[in-house]
Amino acid sequence: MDFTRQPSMQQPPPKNWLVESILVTIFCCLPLGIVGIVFAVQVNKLYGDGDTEGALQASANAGKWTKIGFWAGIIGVFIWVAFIFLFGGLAMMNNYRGHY
Amino acid sequence: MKNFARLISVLVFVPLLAMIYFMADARYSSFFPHCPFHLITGLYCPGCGSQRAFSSLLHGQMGQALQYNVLFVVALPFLVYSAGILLINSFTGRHLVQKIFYSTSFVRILLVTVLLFWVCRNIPAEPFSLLSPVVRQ
Repeated sequence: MDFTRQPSMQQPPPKNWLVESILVTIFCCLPLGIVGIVFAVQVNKLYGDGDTEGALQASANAGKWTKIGFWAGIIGVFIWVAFIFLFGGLAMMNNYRGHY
Repeated sequence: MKNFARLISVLVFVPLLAMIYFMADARYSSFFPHCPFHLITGLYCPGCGSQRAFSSLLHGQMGQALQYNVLFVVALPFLVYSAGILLINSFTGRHLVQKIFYSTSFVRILLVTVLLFWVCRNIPAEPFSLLSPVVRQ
């Protein structure tokens, strides 16, 4: 983000990854999104307290855990799809044999 | 353009997912990925039922969506708000901030809500079990 274009004197708050955390919590079916929400609380609180350094740190953590949750979810989906195709294929072969 | 990936996901992936969840209905198809937390522990996570709720909503069945996952239905307006601001910023070059998400009290309430929802939907007794992702006739 380009902070220099902001007209106000105060820096805008660092990204708190809240929306991404909510998405991971609800859609990736992984409780890791909740860790992201916990760090989002910290980002907002530290920024409100004027601790920009701490807020940036919490922001980095929020991003890290949300991304871990996101990729774990994606990998889970891939494993699931591979599983479906593998066993779906086996099931079809079994069915095929069953028709003899 | 830093928001490019987000813009693409809102404009391309969301409609694509909606199409998949509309046509291959998550309520009746076992093709959709199952929750790893539920597979391992047998308990429901805060996201369990959201895929079925999404399909229910796409088929216009609000009541059913609420039964599958209340949190998903409640979160939806906030996600739309976020996507709306993203679109406005991308197309008009403005720098609107998603104010709600930067309010500490909002995020605190959200955190408590998610945790309570997680616990409550696993309690196998009447008022709480209504939150579990099972459709009651």
